[in-house]
Amino acid sequence: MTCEDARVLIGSDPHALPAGLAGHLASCAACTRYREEMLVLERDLRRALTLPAPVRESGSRRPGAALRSTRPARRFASESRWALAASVLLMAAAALLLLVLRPTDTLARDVVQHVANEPESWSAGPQVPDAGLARVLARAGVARAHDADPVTYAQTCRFRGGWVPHLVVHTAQGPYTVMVLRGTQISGRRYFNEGGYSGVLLPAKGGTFAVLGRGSMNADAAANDVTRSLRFLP
Amino acid sequence: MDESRTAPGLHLSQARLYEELRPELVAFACWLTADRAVAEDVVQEALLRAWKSRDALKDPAAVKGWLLTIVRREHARLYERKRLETIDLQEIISREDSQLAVEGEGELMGLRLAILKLPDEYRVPLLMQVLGGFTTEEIARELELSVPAVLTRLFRARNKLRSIYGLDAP
Repeated sequence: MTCEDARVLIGSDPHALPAGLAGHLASCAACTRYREEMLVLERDLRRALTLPAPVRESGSRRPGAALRSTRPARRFASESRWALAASVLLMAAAALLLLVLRPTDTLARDVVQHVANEPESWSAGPQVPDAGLARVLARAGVARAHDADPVTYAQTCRFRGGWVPHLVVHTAQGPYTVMVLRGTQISGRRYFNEGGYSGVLLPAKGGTFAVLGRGSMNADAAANDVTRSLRFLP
Repeated sequence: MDESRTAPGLHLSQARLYEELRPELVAFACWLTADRAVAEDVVQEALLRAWKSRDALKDPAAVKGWLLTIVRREHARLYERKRLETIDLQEIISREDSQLAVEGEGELMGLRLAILKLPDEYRVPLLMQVLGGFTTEEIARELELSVPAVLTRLFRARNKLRSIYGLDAP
């Protein structure tokens, strides 16, 4: 099987692994990497399609159903003014609401939102092989100590317009998640507790580590573990 | 069995099933049309057609796929009859910016819009596969294509999303 054939098969259904393809992947690192990327895309694609399509909410655009106004123009203009005034009031109210209800830390909120969307990441599956973990970390320019606790989930995820490593580390105290945010700078350590998750944003040279667990967890212990085991490469 | 007493009951349960599946059908149609009003119209027409030919469905377990197929055909028919006006994606993007802040799914916005940007020839088989659960062979039969042609279209669809989504070129 050629790489071109393999990629058509992978691209047509990234989860399928017919025998011929499996054989090719065993000897082709580039196609293996391509499949891994396609699996990440596939996961997000399925998530995206379970959300409502970003559709236009206008009136019917059915062919032949032309939009016509039967109201007098003056009445329309008057209604438009009222509509405009109402819109301005609504926008002001919405802005006020956003101001009052805004999360204390939008970065933490985004991390929590992302992790909440991947509940399967917490499953205590088998340890991610060293090669797979190294590949995920290498893409983000991150090094990890060899004697660190086992990682059971390692994916490159779409986050805030970029691609970041998302790891789940299993320790004697339970699992915690680390998201490696290269290039994201924060001024100091920030603790958070929202949406059923608690954790800490850790500033580091080169970026930020977001460390979180379900419910209340010992954020400092996990943070110390992360600080000791992960670092951004120059 | 007294058919005169059973048939209305069957029809009632079938109608209820159609109604239960309606949100999924509308969601599918929205991804096809990018316009809720058109999607609602398409589903309405499709359900009418399905109801008229309800006896053609031999396997009740296959009702979802059957209805999705009718929705897909109704959408294609709509395009054959008259060209729909082009959907302004920029308008959608502007609307999404505010809506997504509420939904907290901003990271998927780019991908959702990229799906809508795909040409129909790529988007339709992709939606049939991912949302409808159709096999490659079923898609080929429905779209009157060969299986290799469907594989290629699915591959190209994902590859386009992959490049729009910012993954490196293979």
